Amino acid sequence: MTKSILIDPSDVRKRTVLKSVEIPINDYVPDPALEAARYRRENLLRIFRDMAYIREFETMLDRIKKEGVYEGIEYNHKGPAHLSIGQEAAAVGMAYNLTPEDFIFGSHRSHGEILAKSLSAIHQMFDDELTEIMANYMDGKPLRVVETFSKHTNMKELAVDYALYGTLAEIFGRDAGFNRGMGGSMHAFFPPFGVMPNNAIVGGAADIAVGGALYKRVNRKPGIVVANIGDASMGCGPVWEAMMFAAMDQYRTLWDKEIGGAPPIIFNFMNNFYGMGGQTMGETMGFGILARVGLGVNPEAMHAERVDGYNPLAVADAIARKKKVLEAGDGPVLLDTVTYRFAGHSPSDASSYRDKTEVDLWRVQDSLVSYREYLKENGHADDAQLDAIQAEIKERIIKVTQAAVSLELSPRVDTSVDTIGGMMFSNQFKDRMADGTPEVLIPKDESRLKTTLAKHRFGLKDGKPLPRLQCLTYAEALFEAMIHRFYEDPTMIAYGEENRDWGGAFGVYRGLTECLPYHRLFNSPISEGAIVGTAVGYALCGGRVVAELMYCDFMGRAGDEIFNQMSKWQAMSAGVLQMPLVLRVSVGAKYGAQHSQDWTSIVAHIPGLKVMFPATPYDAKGMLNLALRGTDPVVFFESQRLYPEPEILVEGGVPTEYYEVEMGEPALRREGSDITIVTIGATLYRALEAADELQARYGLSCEVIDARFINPLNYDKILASVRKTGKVVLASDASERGSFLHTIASNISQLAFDFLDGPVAVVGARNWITPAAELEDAFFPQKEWIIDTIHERVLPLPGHQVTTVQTNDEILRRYRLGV
Amino acid sequence: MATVVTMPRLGNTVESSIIVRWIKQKGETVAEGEALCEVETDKATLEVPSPVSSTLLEMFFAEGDDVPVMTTIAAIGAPGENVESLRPGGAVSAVPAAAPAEPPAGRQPAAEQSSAPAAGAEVPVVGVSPRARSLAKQKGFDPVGLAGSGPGGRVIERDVLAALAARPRMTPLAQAMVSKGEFVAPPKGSGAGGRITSKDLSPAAAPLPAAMPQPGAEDEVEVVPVRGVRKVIAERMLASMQTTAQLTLNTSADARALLAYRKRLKNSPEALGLQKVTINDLVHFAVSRTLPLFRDLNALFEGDQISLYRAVNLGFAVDTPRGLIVPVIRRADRLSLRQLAAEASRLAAACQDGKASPDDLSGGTFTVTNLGSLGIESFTPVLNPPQVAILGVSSINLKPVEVDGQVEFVPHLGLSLTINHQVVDGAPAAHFLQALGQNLAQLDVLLAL
Repeated sequence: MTKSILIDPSDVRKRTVLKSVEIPINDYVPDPALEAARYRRENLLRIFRDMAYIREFETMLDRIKKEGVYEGIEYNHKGPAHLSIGQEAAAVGMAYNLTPEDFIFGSHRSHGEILAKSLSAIHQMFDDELTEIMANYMDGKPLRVVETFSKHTNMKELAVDYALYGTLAEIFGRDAGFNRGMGGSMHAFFPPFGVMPNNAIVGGAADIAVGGALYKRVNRKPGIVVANIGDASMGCGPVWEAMMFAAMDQYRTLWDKEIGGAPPIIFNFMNNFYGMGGQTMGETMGFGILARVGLGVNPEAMHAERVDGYNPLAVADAIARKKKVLEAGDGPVLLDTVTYRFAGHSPSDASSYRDKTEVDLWRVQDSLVSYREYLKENGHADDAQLDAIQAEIKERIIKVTQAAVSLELSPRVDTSVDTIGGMMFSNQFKDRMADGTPEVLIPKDESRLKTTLAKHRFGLKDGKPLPRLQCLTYAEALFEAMIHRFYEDPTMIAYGEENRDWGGAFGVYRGLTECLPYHRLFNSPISEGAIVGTAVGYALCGGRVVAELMYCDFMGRAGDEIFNQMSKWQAMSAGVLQMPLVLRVSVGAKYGAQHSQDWTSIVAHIPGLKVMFPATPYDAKGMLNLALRGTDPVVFFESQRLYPEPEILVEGGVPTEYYEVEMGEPALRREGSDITIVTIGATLYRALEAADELQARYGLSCEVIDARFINPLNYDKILASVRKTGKVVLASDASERGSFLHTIASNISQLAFDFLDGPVAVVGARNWITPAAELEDAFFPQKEWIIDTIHERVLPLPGHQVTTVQTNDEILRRYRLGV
Repeated sequence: MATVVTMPRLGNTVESSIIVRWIKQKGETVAEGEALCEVETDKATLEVPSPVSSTLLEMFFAEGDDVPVMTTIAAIGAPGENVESLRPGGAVSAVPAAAPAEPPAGRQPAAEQSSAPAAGAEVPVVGVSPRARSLAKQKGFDPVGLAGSGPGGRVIERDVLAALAARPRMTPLAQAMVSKGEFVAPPKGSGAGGRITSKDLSPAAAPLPAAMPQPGAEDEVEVVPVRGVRKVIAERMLASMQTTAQLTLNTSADARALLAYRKRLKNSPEALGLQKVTINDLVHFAVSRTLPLFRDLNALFEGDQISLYRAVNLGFAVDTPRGLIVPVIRRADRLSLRQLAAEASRLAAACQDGKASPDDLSGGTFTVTNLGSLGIESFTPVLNPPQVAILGVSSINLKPVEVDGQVEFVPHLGLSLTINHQVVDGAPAAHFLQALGQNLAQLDVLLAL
């Protein structure tokens, strides 16, 4: 309990001085004799081999990109190629001491890391493991291509060709690539070797990697996680948020000791001193030495070190030492791995921002040259042996390149059918993401469920409202869905701001604190980016997670995580990954411009998200149940206006047992024959008031449909209604301009044109800031807006006196002024 | 407001005529009916009369110009009126001034209006909602011109429903006449219970000053000269009624076999070419097989002689934009159902396109006219002399029939046979109608013939 940590004023107000730990800079002292004993000759040569693989692979891409030909193989590669020539020692040193179950997440410049980690894993794995992976991954598709050209004498050599080919075919956008060409150069990855998603958003991997480390901790999986991100990503908010999230005290102060402490994460800044053309040391940042940042995060300064990334043995040594720190639960770790890229940022980079002198200085110290000298000087190999290694590498890469450019051997996915559409969602339903007994503190029937189950499940009796406190509310219906899945799925965790003790700012989780150990329900820092980003990492590693944003408005703080990460990794992995992540988002009111916005339309625009917005307690439970059993990312909108409301629309009320609402199916809330009103969210109740008044005053029979789903959405019910009535008005609390309602309206116009008796009218909130609570009636759609809109634009009502302006001229005026 | 003079359609197949000579010159006063110019087709030369008495303000074409029919060729009105807006757009003209380099002046204001920023201000186009339009179409009703009750005067569903409800009840013949657009109905008729009969109708083209006393009412009347096909129809119909003794017999025939067989054809393999066979084709087939046994009705009466035909040359009525046309299926009695249907389809298309040849339109020995698709339950077909009989086909309606002491509702096809009682007696006509009904009821058996 947080209550047990006392904040003592006499302690925190005491005069003293903060003494910080020291940060080692390039602390590694080479000792050839010791290294010979520690690594043995064969492994020292393997390090050279792996570096040479990366160098040749990247050189091949450099030629293809710049000259269109490599060793006589012509190819025009349209996509990107951010090469890491010069950074080989850092990649190979990083991967050397990682085991196959250790994960790496990387950046747009991660070809080298993919190869280094794959080669390291292949070296450590048994032949039968490799055989099984290659035979089963994508049903053996990449393997079948590799077998057509690979010259190998053993399984490991075949696996090396496989790793090279799978990566290159992915870069070239081919169906047999590791991600069927859906990821490409900047996103390629291969989970069986511990190579997890690489991210083209600078620093994007940081919070996702922390989520991966969280997954390992919570689910007691072996291994650590390395986030390979660039020095320039230190300027990114989500990277800081990721470090804050990884360094929370609670892992050691509040979580069960048995969990093992902090998530095992290394933030490995591959420091090549440039963010595109900006110099992080001396120009665009102020840290001087990147490792210094560790001092700002926790008392251990994140065990930060600067490591010489031009010496593979220095990096391997650092990783081995830091792995021990992480295994002891004392993470996170920050490494400032110094390296340098000879290649430009990308092929279009003319290196105008740096001097040739500087590049030449680094070339003199090229790790491939200096490490080669080191091997020769210390008698591990002679030139002939090393030349032979490089010659074999070249031969393999030529064969791999020939196969990867060939459209016969390596076709692209068939876009004449909806192949990519089929990858957007996994569309599976799983009661639990892994076997096991869910960790709980008390039996479910001793929980708050006792109270909620005993309440009235329907809020009306003989048409009269029952006392509110005795009725099950929308918030409690959500609670019932949450507790059900917590007791079913051992991988399920939930977190966000004030989620524990407080039960979330609106009490949805009240009663869960008593049921769940800390590692399944905890408070996060106020880091919306990291809340969503870590959840993305947790989910794509295989765990079910519910992240909460206290207000919809805070989605802006998690923009990249929602728009680029949560939504896209299923498709970018071509179905290799699933994303059982439900993001609960609460739509506010009364708190003004930054706490009262309905942003359903913004997520509706992003491919790859399922979007739901229940408007009744029945749907709150049935739709959250649906979301929580699925394997797809769901943005689950909730209405703060509705949290305290009982069920008054669905006959029979909220079932006590488990049930699900049908995916994408709107709900018919009232049958009618003269006009259709379609709503999203809490506006439903205003629409029902309007329907009552239209019936009472004008004898107009309204059909009211609650869309409740934004994506996917089945239009059948809406269209059937419009075909019947010929008239339709849509309403929601989202600001009118760009509202998702306009998408529905446009589809109705196209699909039911001949049945329309008037234009499809949209009633949204004003295109303003949300004003003070007392002025909200002027901002959010009211009953009168709906009636006046019908009168002005669809069906003049005899004798009707408008009280608001809903004319066509008003639409023009608002748009002319942009308000 | 100036009156336009259009190039008349001087025959069914005439698409353009040449202006041979302007008789009146620009600025001259002209009297109604006075010749304005001479025009020539490949068949004849005739004069174009002035529709009103006023001043010839402008001629839009020069002598020698080949002008498509129905194109405005001149404007007549008060001196000083600007008639440029009446100038036709895309005509080929030898007059340099009429060269289509400049857009017609009349288009300009409209274009400005539609692009004006204040488009929310009343747009003078009266809209009809898609739903109102489809309902009106379904009911054979023109919604344009209805007073709309929707926003901005848009005609919406309820306006069409109200108009339909307010439409006076008419006899089937009156309804058929009105639906063709040639006649207008008064608000109340002289028939039983105020029903409007054909006698109450007035020609749509005739000006009705008493009925429309409001200023500007002339804008609401379109004056159509009675020429061409319309003129032929007018003369023949009147002649038919005046020169023959017409008697109509009504009955209905069990339509179950007809409907069932039609359904089978619709579902037949496309390659057989039978999917588009209509109910009307099946009636034609039954008539063509029944008629040879009743030669009294397959006959022509020409004053002092009656010609009884063995061959059935079957005329059938086709409604075209230009009016009623009756093409003839030759030797219908020898054609298979498929051939019959194909020939009917070909002829109907030719009539619609105005490309039917004189041979297509002559030589009929018996005629079938069908208003069933318009929901007509019974009507009196008008003879096509010198033919002595015409069969009217009405809609299929459920009719209570006693079967084993129980009432069953059986679909029946309405049949009305008009005969010239001068030469055909009632009994043989009734026998024919009875036999036709039986043949339709057992169409499957008849197909063996």
